[in-house]
Amino acid sequence: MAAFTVLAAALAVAWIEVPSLRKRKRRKELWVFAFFLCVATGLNVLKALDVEIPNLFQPINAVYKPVSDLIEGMLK
Amino acid sequence: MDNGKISGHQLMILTMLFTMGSSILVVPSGLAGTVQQDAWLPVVVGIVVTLALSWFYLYIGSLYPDRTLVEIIEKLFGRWVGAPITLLFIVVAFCVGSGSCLYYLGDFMTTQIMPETPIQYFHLLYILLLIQGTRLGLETLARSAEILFPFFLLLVIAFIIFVSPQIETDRLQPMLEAEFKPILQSTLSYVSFSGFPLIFMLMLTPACTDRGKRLQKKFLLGNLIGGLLILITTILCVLVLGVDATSRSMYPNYALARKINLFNFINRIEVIMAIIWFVSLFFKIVVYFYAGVLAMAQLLRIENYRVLTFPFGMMLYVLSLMVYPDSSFMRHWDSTIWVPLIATFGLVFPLLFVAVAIGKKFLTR
Repeated sequence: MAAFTVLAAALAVAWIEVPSLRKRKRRKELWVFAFFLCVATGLNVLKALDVEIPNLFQPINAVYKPVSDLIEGMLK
Repeated sequence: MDNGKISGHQLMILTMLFTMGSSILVVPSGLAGTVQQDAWLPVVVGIVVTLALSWFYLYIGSLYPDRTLVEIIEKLFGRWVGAPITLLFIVVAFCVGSGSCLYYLGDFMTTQIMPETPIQYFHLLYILLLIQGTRLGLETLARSAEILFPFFLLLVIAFIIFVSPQIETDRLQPMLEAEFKPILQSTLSYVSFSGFPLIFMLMLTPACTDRGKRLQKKFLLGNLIGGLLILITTILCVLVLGVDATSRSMYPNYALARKINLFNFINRIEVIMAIIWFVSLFFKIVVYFYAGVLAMAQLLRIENYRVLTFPFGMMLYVLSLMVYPDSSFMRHWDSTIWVPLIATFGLVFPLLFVAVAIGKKFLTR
């Protein structure tokens, strides 16, 4: 059910944006929009279906954990 | 690109709200935890450091006037080396910055005000607001900030006056007991909330009609006012609640507002504090969001950033629920990972930009 809500929302967004972009013949913007909308819809559908999404912040944490430990060690 | 223009006064207000943003409700508790009754000291040092940082950021902006941060990066590094750097900045502004601030709002609402409503609904409502604000453009955002500013100040002043009868000055004593290292640590934590993120204001400054010295004055002034408001609330928290209660509570300012009791008649008006925070937090998130979306549009060279707002808003919904699994992790993450992360983008990269700019000047001569 939640997944369908997401799809409906994505359709509504496309319905708002696409006609004016097509009218103004903005090819590139249309592609960029379509790409990001697909990514966003995909993420939201996965989230709605409770699929385990890899935490996108894990790489950040992995990179900065040593740095943060170092700072903490210096300030202790 | 976006042709919106904002005045110096509007930039000042935006800078003030961006400086205060999430910090005003969260910072006092962390500071009271590390340096006890001297919590005001790191804020004072932090304000000075933040002012120096803002001056430095404006210097970077003045290397290429009328250019946003993304365009400056492209000018300095070229398109192919610049693009990955810009992408990193977008990830930090959009995913980490606006995502984490949005989680703050959701967490605050679910733990303090409306515990039975799922956090998703607060995020959804705020994201709709963000999308609408960003689509209407920077000019509209700046004007709404300008309109809200007097009410905002009025609420802050009312808050300070109402809570002042309960001040007990002994709570600040003994003064200056904290040692050097904890002060350094808490200054760093303050700057990581209020100072380093100001680098993203460079996406907005080119839209300001003021240039050079006048821009600098407005930017630093906004910064200073924001910092002073944080300082006042931090001191008030310690003076009224005491060190223990401040460091233990998740949102000490809110706990402080609960204490307001005039003539046993005016009480339970803590929502005043919540409104102050909603306003400042909204502008903090919207600046992050706008910076991220505009940066992406400029990176991809599309004319109108508005097409990106809906997809990015949808992504933000998932990301904001992903940054922090829970609020204890949030506190831990903010004091460990966030500090070096934002320092990389607020200090290391800017220094690199200046080094490259000076090197380029030297080579062309």
